[in-house]
Amino acid sequence: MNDKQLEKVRKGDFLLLPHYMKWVGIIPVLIGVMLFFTQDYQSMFKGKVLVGISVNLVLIGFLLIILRKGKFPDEHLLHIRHKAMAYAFMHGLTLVIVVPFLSYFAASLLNVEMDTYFMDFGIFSIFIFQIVYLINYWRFKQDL
Amino acid sequence: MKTDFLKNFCEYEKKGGVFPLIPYRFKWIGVIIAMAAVGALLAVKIVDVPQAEFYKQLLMHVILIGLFLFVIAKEKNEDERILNLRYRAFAFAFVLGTVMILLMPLAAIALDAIAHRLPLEWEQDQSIFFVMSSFLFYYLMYFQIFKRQL
Repeated sequence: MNDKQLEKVRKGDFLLLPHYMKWVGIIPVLIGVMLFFTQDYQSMFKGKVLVGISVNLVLIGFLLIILRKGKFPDEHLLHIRHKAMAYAFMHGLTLVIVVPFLSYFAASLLNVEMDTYFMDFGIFSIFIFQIVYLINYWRFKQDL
Repeated sequence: MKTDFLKNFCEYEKKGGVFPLIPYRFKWIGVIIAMAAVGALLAVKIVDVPQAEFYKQLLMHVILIGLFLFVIAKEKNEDERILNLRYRAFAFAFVLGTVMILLMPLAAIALDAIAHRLPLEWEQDQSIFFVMSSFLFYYLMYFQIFKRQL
C-alpha cells in the first residue's frame, strides 16, 4: 500500500465500487430469491444447503449495492455514509438485544411452549442491518 | 396532535437523540457485567445445574449487553471529532463484519476441498452471539486504531 492509498484509508474512504454496481448487485439477489422459491423444481441443492446459499447470495447482492459509490462522490456523502452505518449498527443492535426478551415475555405471558427463547437469527440480523442502513442513508440524503 | 408528536420526534432525532451515548461510568459497568457473565458461564459449565442450555444462552446474551454498554459509553472528553471517529469505526466494522460472515462459508468449503472432505452441510456458526460479538470487537479495534491516528 502506498502513501496515497494509506491517506485515503485514514480519511475513512474504504474500497468503494463503481456506480453501476447497483445493477450488478440486483443479479445475485434475484438468483437467490429464485433459488429459494423454485426448490421443488430443481434437484441441484436441497434443504439446508439451499437455504444457506440463497441467503448468502441475497446478502452479497445487498452488500454490493451498499458499497457502491454515489453518482458524485464527495466528503460530505462519505460522512453521511459513515453516519448511516453507525445508526444502522445502533438500531440493529438494540433490536437484536431487545427482541429475545420480548419473545421470552410473550411466551411466558401467553403460556406457549417455545424451543429456544434466544432465537438463532444471526444471519437475519445482518439483513436487518443492511436494510436499516439503506433506509438511513436515503433519509440523510433527503436532508441535504 | 399526531403530526406534532412526529415533528417533535424528528427534531429530537436530528439532534442525535436516537443515537444514545451514555455517561462515561457505564463503560466500567458494562465491563463488570460482561466479566460477571463470563464467570457465571464458567460456573454453569463446571457446576451441574438443571436447564444448563437455557442459562448458557441467557448468559451469552448478558455478555452481549455488557459489551454494548461498553461500546456506547462516552469517552472522557467527548467532542465532535471523536463522534466522527466513532461513526467511521462503526462503518468499518459494519463492512468488515458483513464481508467476513459472508466469506466464511466459502472459506470453509475451500478448506474442505483441500482436505478432500465432501462438504455435506452448510456448516457455519450463524448464532447471533457470534455475529454480534464479532461486530462489536471489530468496532472496538477500529476505534482504538483511529484514536491512535489522531
